[in-house]
Formats: sequence, C-alpha cells, structure tokens
Amino acid sequence: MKRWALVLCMLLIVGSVLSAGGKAEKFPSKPITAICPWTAGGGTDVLLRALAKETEKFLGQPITVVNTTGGGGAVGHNAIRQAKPDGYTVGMITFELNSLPPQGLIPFTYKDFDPLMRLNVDPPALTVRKDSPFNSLKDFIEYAKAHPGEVSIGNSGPGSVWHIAAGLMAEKTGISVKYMPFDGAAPAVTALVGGHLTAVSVSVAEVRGQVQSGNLKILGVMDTKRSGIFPDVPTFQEQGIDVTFGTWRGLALPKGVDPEKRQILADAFKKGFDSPEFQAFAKNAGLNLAYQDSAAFGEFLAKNAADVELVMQKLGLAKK
Amino acid sequence: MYRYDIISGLVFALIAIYALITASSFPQDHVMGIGPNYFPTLLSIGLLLFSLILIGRGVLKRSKGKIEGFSLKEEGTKRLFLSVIVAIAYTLVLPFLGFTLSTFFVIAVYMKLLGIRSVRLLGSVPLLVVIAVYLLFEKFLSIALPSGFLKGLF
Amino acid sequence: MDWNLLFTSFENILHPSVLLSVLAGVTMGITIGALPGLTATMGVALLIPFTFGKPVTESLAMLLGLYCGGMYGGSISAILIRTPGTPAAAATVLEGYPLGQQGHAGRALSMALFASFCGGTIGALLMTFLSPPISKVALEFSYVEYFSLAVFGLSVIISISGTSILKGVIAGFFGLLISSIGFDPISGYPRYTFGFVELLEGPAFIPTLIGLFALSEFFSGMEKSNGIERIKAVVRAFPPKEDILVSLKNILKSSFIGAFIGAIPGTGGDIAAFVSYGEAKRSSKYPERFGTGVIEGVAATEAANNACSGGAMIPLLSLGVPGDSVTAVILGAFIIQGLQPGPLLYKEHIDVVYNVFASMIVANIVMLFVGIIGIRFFVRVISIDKKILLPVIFVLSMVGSYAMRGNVFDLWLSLIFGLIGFLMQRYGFPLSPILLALILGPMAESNLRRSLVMSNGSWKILVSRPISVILLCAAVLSIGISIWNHKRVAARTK
Repeated sequence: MKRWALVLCMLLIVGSVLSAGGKAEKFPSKPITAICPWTAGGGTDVLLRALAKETEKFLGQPITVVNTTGGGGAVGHNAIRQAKPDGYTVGMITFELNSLPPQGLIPFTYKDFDPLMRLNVDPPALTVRKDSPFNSLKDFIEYAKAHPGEVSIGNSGPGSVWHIAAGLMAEKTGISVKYMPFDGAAPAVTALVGGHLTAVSVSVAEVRGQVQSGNLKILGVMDTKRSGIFPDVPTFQEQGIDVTFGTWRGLALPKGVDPEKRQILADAFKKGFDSPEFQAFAKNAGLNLAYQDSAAFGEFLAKNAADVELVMQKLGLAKK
Repeated sequence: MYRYDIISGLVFALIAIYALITASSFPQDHVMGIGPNYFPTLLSIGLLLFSLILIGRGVLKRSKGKIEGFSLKEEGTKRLFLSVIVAIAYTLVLPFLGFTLSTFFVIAVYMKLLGIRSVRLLGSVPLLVVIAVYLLFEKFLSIALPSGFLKGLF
Repeated sequence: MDWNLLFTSFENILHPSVLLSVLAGVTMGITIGALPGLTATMGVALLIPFTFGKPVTESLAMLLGLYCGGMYGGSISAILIRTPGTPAAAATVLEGYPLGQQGHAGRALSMALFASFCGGTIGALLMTFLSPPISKVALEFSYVEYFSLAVFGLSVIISISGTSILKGVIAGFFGLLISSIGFDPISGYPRYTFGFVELLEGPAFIPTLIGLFALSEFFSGMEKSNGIERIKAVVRAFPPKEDILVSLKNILKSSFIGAFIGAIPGTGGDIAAFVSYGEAKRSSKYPERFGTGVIEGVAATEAANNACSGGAMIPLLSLGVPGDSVTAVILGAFIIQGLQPGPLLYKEHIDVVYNVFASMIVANIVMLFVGIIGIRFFVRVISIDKKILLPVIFVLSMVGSYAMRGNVFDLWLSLIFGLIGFLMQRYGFPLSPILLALILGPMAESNLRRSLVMSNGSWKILVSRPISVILLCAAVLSIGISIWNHKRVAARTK
C-alpha cells in the first residue's frame, strides 16, 4: 500500500515543481478567481458572472466565480481581503462592507481593500399598492404624521441597506413608522402585493415587475436623477425631501497587488463592462450601471462609509 | 440503560440552562415586550422541562428502548474513535494540502481502518474517487475545491 | 385556456434541440440532486450563466428540466445511503432507507421515481390550469398565516419521533434552539454565535443536514462495520402492482398538498414532504409500521416534493413572486432573458407561459425515462462493499458541505453535527425532528414577531384571520391524533 501512495505522491510533487518553476511569464498565465460574497443565483452573483463571462475574452484566461458566503457578506469580504495579492483573485464588494463595521460585526473596513472599479448604484424607492390612497410622497408623509406608528414599511432585513434607507427618510421627515424586516427584498414585495404592508423601501429593480404589471406604484426615488425605467416618477428631492441613497457594487483586490497587474485587470474588466453583451444584460436586469475608476471609487467609498455610519447611529443600529 | 437517559437528559438540560443564561443578556425590546431574547428563552425553558422529565424517567427506571454504551475494549469503538480523529485531521490539513492530496490519503486510511489489505485497492479506489470528484465539481460544475499549495497546478 | 397555443407549445418543446436541452437539464438535475450538498437551487444557479444568449425556450426548458430532475435525484441518495441529496428528500429517508437496508432498494427507488413522476405531472397540470385562483389564495398569506403554517408543520414532529415522543420533542426543541443561532430576524441582534462571523446567519443549512444524516451514518458505519453482509439489490424499473395500488391514494393526496405548499411563497419541497408524510401516517391503517420501511411513506414524500416544483412556479408566473428557493433563481433567469414574470408576462408573452407549462410536463416524462435507465445503475450502489462505500460517503459529504459556501468553517460545522447526530441516535433520539425544527424555526419566530409588531403586541392577531385559525386547529388536531396513534402503537407492541 505504502509503495503505491508514495509513487503517486512523488508524481504529484514532481508535477507541481515542474509547472511552478520555469517560466516567468506574462500576467495572467492561469485562471483568475472572482470571489462573490453572496449566494449563487442572487443579484450580485449573476452580475459578477455576466461580467466575468465577457471579461474572459479580453483577459485571455478563464474567470472562476467562487461564492464564499455567510455572515451577511462578512465571510466573503474577509476572504477577498485575505486572498493572496498575486492578482489572481479579485472580489466583488458590496454596500454591506460599509454597513457591517458600524454594527461591530467585522474588524475591517473598505480601507483594507484596493478598489478596482465601481459597477452599479441602485437607489431605493418608496413603493405602495396601486389602490392605496397615496399619490405622492406628501400624501404619505402627512398621513404618517397624523397616524404615528401605524404605517409599516417593509425592507430586506434588519440593518440592511433598505432598512437604513427607510430610516433615513423617516429621520429627514420626522415621521414615526414600523420597520418590517424580511428575509430579502422579494418576500417584502410579496407582502406588499398581498396587502400586508403599507409600503416597501426596496430598489426600483426589485419592484419593477409588480409596478409594470399594475399591482404597485412608486411614490418617489431616492436618487439625484429620475430612474431610467420609470422616468415619470419624481425623485425625493423634486418632492422637497432632500434624501439620496443607494446600494452599490464594485470590484476590489486585496491590498498589495502589483500596479502593473492591477492595470491589466482594470483594463480587461472595463472592456468587459463596455461590451454590448454586458450592457444588454444590465439593461434587462434593470441595473443602474454607474462606472467609476479606481480613484473615484475610493473617494466614493470613503464618503459612503461616513454617511452610512452616521445614519446607522441615528437609527440605533450601530454599536456605540 | 436508565443511566443513558439520565446522562443525555442532563446534557440537554445543561444546554438549556446555558441558552437561558445567555439569552438573559440579550437586549430586550421594551416596546413590544418580545425581543431577541423571547424565543430562545421560551425554547430553552421547553428543552429544560422535557429534559427533566427524561431524567425523571431514568431515575424511576421507566425508560423505553434499548441502548448500548461504549466500551473501549471493543474493536468497533476503537475504530470509531480513530475515525473521528482522522476526520478532524483531514479537516485540519485540507486547506493546506489541498483537496486532491488530502482526500487521496483520507480514503486510503479509512479503507485500511475498515480492514482492506489489498494494496491495489488501497491505491486505485482513492485515485478514482479523487479524479471523479475533481472532474465533477471543478470541471463540470466549476465549483472550486480547496487547492492548497498545489494552486494553479490543475 | 388556449388549447391551440398549448399544442403549439408542445410542438416547440418537442423540437429536437429543445428536447435535448430538457434531457441535459434532467440528467444534470438527477446527478446534482443525488449528490449530497448539491441542491436543485445550486444547480439552477450554476446553469444560468450558460443560458446567456441562448434562445428563451431552450434555456427555460433546460432549467425546468434540472429543477424536476433535482427534486427526484435527492431521493436516490436518501434511499441508498441515508443522505438526503437535497433538503426536500429528508423525509424520504424515514421510510426509504429502511427499505433499502432490507434489500428492497429497487422497490423504493422505482416507487420514488414513479411517485416523483406522478407528483411532478400533477403539479405541472395544476400550474397549467389553476394558476390564477391558487396564486390568489397564496397572496392571502401574511405573517400571521406563515406563523400558523410553521406551527402546523412543527406538529409533524410528534409523528416522526419514532419510539419515544419525549425524545422526539427534546430533539425538536434542541433543533429550534439551534435555529435561533445567528441574527435575530427582526432586530438583527447576533445570538449564540460564539464569536464566529460564519454563524451570523445561523449554522448553514446544507452542512448541518449533511452532518446530521450522512456523517452520523458514516460514524455509525465505522463503529459496526464488522460482520455487515452485502445487501442484495433487485433491479426494477417499475414498482410492483401491489405497491402502486396501496400508494395511489397517498400519491394523489400528497401531490395536491405539495403543489399547494409550493405555491405559498417562501415555503418549499422540504416542508411539503414532511407534511405529506405526517398525513400519510395519520391516515394509514397501520401507523405503527411507519419508520420501518413503508412504501407509502416513500410515495407520499416524493410525490409531494415533486408536485411542489409545479406549485412553486404558480406564483412565479402569475405574480412574479418566487414560490421557493429554486424558483427565486429561475426568476433571475427570466429577467436575464428580458422577461418579467407576473401578470404582464401573461399579457405580453403568453407564448412563454405556455412553453413553461409544456416544458414542465415534458420534463417530467423525460425524467421518468432517464430514471428508468438510471435505476439499474443507482441500485448497485447499495451492494458496494461498505469498506469502500463508507470512505466515499465521507468524502462526498465533506465536499458537499464545502461546495455550498466555499468555506472551511462549514466542514467543521458538518463534522460537529455529524458527531451530535451520531451520539443522539446512539442514545435513542430521532434526528428528523431537529431538521424539521431547523427548517421551520426561523419561519415561526420571524413571522410571530412580525405579527406582534403589526398588532402592537396583541396576541389576538393570531386568531384574527380564518386561514390562520384553520391551520392552528389542524396543528392541535395533528398533535392529538399522533399521540393517540402512538399510544395504540405502544399498546400493540407490548
């Protein structure tokens, strides 16, 4: 038995030495791993896989998407942070990277990453049932003021981006509402369609289907500009409430990747991003693409982290 | 036999007490009166209650069913302990040795433990399993397995 | 119902290239379903990138084929190696595994296939003809009804407790306590995480499931591997006539239960299978034999979880709301194709809707054929020497635990639950109640708390809605009947 195992072991070791040594070749010479901190089949995963598929062509190497999930995104983000900085691991970072630290749930922040590019920013919207008496934000807020604690707003989870969005709105307008967290945006939207909630504060893309089929209507979008899908819906700012907010996704590297390799990756992913196939995908998925390069994304992250922490503290979601 | 019901009852009772004490430190929700601590408290009280009944049954010698204890003299028990140790060792070395190598060895070791002597079998079965799993997961489903220090070789 | 359109869709689906996609999907689904740790959800998610840029009909047909195949595939490993390949097959272990051990693996496998086919087809037919009314009822489910449904599901614990109800209840409470690990669903406070970020969302379900069932079985196999004779296996593609006759009523009943539970968003095949099992045992003339290898048990669970697929498509198509975790991923596939399921799909792309109907029915037929060919290979697994099979089960369990989240922590989790499961079983505690508690615990807690938030803390809200009252009464009734049945069993076995 020993002999067999030994021979095999030797073969494997010899093989590894042969392949590792020798060529000091151009980057990338082997497949790239892309870490997704969210489950396969979810919005983030599908976006990353679509982008990876287009980028492979420009990189000349396959990109394998690995879903390292758990801990509300904490596990995956940590995996990206601790990956070997050899350029062969990129990761998708998402809004939660800025909302987990204030809750004291992860011991690292955006500063521990090397941002590569921002991909999209999706604003939340205040959405109610089609047959509800509210036709504008003003109606909604007046009613909520007159009936404190009666209005219920569904979101995608406690401390989630849409919970914070609703809190931000309540904070700015001085209304008191019930926050109803669900396990993801879809069940919240379902509960609204079934008439078990007053409103939801999830993204435009997440309510799009129900709005288009006439079950729900959007009262306002928390963005600086109107939504591309529903250009008739005014923004919060237009209705006199100065709130803008959104979730974002982007690519990042662990700290310490060689700048040359980093540039190669950035160029390839940008080409993938610009490819007509990816653009068509994003349009179908209702994604609000918002490219930023590494430097701009870094600045954005810093500002966003500060904003989020402030709001979470006001909402009592942050650990003091 | 009664002994085992008392022991398992005690273990669950201890788990329940631990859960109960921990739950009391969770923040309470004063508005609704039902916060993060509510459900765990309820559940640990239930667990405690039923564990006590189980202990009571054991003490009164009214347990049901047959249970055999462990005896280190027996071949099976020894093999069981060894297999737990091997499983722990496998999990420990997997991230470093990588899937292919550690899995090859763990299968061979388990087969040996179970009494297989044929060298040919001990070599070929692990090899075939590793290749099959590797092809199925990495190539067919493109799910990455831990690659360890052999990263990039395959 | 537009019959012309329905026939056209069948024509579309029976086109060779589409049929090939269905075949590929079904085969892949059965493989993925049979492997511990790989679920239909994951299979569909992994397949989606391959459908980018493919025609709508082909991609959807392939995904639906995988969905159907995956639901059936889970039963194969449940029967042969006591490892539910997918959570939905966990209830199949209860009767399927004893059958296999008694040398009836062929009978159990062929019944699982037959029941899966019947259930899947009935589910697909219900979806085709009754989508609008069923989805209306599904929308009525608010947090109050979800809570009551969870309580009703938990009442099944009594009937899956085996020899001792007391130990079953303890296992149930233990499982519920485990399910409270992680973020509290309403306030987000992390509970019992012992400082592990990996536990923030609770112990990952798949590794826990694999640990409790597969690894515990592995350890017990290691302990008593001496003197195990090889189990003979008779290959059969179709269940014997007596088996079909005795199970037919259960298959029909379970198909309806499965399709309906599937149609309620947020529930899935696992709940449907356990509820059907409880019902099959309740209505049986010999409930005392359940747990020792009763063929109707296999028929009920497999019909239910496959009917669930059709059911889960109902709210997806007619409301745009996924019925279970697989359809949640399929929703993504629709969107990538530029289609938005929901009432609008019926208005603008009715052809797609009908293609889905046709694909679902064709997928079940293809599944039947692939299964019949496959059984002759699957059944041999049980005759493999345990000395070789056990190490392979160990490796597949570990790989399956890892694959879901790509996380070494989950291997430890699986190992710990393997030991817990092994010890509990050694000391006479049933394991299925833990599993049921893990599935339903979070559903019960989060919806109870949502209800109380809505009612400002008044418990009266739980009896304020008719469906909820019915479910709660059913739960009480089910507990009562199970205890009574158990007394009868105890009296008879004395």
